[in-house]
Amino acid sequence: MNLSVGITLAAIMTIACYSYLWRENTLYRIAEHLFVGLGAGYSIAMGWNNVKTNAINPLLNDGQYILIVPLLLGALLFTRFLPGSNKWLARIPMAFLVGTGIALSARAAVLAEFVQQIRATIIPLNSVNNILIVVGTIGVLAYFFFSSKFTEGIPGLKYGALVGRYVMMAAFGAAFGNGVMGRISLLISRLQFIFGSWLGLM
Amino acid sequence: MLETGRIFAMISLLVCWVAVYYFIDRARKGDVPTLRRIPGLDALDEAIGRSTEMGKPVFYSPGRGNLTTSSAAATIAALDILGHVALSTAKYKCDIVVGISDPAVYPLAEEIVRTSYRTANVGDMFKPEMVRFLSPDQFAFASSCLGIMSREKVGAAVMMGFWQAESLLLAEGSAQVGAISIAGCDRLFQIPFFVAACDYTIIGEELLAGGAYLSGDPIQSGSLAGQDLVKLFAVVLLVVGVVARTAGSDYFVKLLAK
Amino acid sequence: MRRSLPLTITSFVGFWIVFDYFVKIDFVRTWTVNFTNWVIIVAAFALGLGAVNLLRIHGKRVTERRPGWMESSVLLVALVYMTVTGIFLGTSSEAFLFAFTNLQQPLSAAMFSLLVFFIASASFRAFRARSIEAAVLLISGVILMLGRAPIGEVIWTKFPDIADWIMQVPNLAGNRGIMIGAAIGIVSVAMRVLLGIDRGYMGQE
Repeated sequence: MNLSVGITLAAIMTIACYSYLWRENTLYRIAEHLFVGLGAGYSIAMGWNNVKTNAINPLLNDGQYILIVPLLLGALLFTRFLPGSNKWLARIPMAFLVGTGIALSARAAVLAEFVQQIRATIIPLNSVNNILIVVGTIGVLAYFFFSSKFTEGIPGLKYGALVGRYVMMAAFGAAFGNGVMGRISLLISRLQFIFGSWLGLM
Repeated sequence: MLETGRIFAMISLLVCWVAVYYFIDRARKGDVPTLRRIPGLDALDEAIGRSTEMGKPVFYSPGRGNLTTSSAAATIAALDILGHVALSTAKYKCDIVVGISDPAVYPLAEEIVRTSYRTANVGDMFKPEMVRFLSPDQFAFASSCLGIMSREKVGAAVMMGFWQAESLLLAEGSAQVGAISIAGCDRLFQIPFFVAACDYTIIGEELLAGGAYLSGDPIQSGSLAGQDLVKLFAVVLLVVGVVARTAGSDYFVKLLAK
Repeated sequence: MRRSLPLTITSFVGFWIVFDYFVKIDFVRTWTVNFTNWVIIVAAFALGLGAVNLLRIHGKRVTERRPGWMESSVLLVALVYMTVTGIFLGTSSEAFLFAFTNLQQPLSAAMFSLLVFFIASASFRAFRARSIEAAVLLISGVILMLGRAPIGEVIWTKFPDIADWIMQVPNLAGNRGIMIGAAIGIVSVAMRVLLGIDRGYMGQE
């Protein structure tokens, strides 16, 4: 049995997490709170590194004064704690984050998830598999029509949507099956750690 | 001046925006489309009502996405849905616990819940503990959500937005405490786990339509009809492209690569 | 001002970044790079907001000796330990890495591996096939598992081939349809947000 502090702590943490399977209990609760504290502290430390590397160092060492802007925006986030009517200032950095994020999201989606997926589905109907892929993709798209203008206006759309539901269920089953196989290997690796590395039984 | 390989994407984006804007404009002028039912979204009120009857809080999480990467749209959609859920819990005078993973999402979620309680004239019921920043760490967040669901014996669990492997921990955790569970994700990989473990699942574009669907705002409903027109455009493009390809022409494959 | 300034900022930055994706203009690209770098900095500040929330909720629980105050004190100690060692000693310091390697990582691995038990219970419920759709999911999932496990091939040599077919045909079609639909949804959400039609995410009375 390996009784080094690191290995023992790691093994206790593993058992504490697994104890949830019995029921929510004190050991699990301690591990959970410890985990949240560690995770948050870790992110704050990494976040500080980001601010230092990307803003403070270039600002102080290389004179990149434009970086005062993001630092100010970051500081504005904390105006929500101010008393009185200045809390709204915190919306300015949030607006900046949302504008950037939604734009990055949209521009990536239109190319990688719209154009490239349609392009990849433009295949010759020279095999049963190809026919099924095209019909299946169109069926799934038919499922996502929301407005009655279209659901009632396009003949056969509801049958297409039905095909789409079955195709999606088959796809979900496949992803689920794949997930199960992947997770089993994770369990095996944790059991190997407890019975091998810690208890020395393997 | 135009970026090669992205021209057709630009045209598609413009087609989408023009179509959506056209239907929004028609809705403004009174031509509001009727929408098909989305059972998972319709079930939200039932879940909140049941939770209220049992005197248990509702758990909500807008997922592990953030506002600054490709998960931003799903996160914003999840925040829109939070607005509806929080307004319902406020009207029913029911408690809500919101579990947050991304720190930048936390102030928005808090503002949404606070505003919802104020709008329902029960502003004094709002407590800052209702919206909890848990952890950006994937499994620390999941372990904390599991703990909250068990300890606070939630009556309903609503999980919307961008999810990764932790999805099943939350979904199954809510099932184990007997909560009615509703989950939605815009990516294929986690939807199967929600389908397996949850009472209702919101799939792909349904999540992104959620805010507009629940808002009851005719203008936003119009945008969903616009989305339908774009889907029709995609289907037509696919059919024409496939027919041409079968006939030996790769014109459309090349066109889409432009 | 309180509503219009944030919306103007969202629209300006958003349309700028979308425009940049489709054109080759150095000036536009430079500012897009600036905006995306700034986001990392601003988002890092947001971690401070998260820390304040944790300190407020758990600090209150500890000082008022509310139920769960012991666990909350563990959380606070861990939070302060990681923050202080990470910032003052560095994220490569022995003190920071000790807690990361021997506590945080095993906790993460254990929670991840818990999934296998949850998958078992979820499968049990899902696979009680109450409808034709659930049956399709069940059959597809079981074939996939049999096709990927050595025992599947022993039972029937065709299982791996059928599993591959499921991945290459229905799974591919399902995935593509969902992706195309989601892309349209994302672009529409983006438009509603950038034009200020959808403000629900900001909290709307």
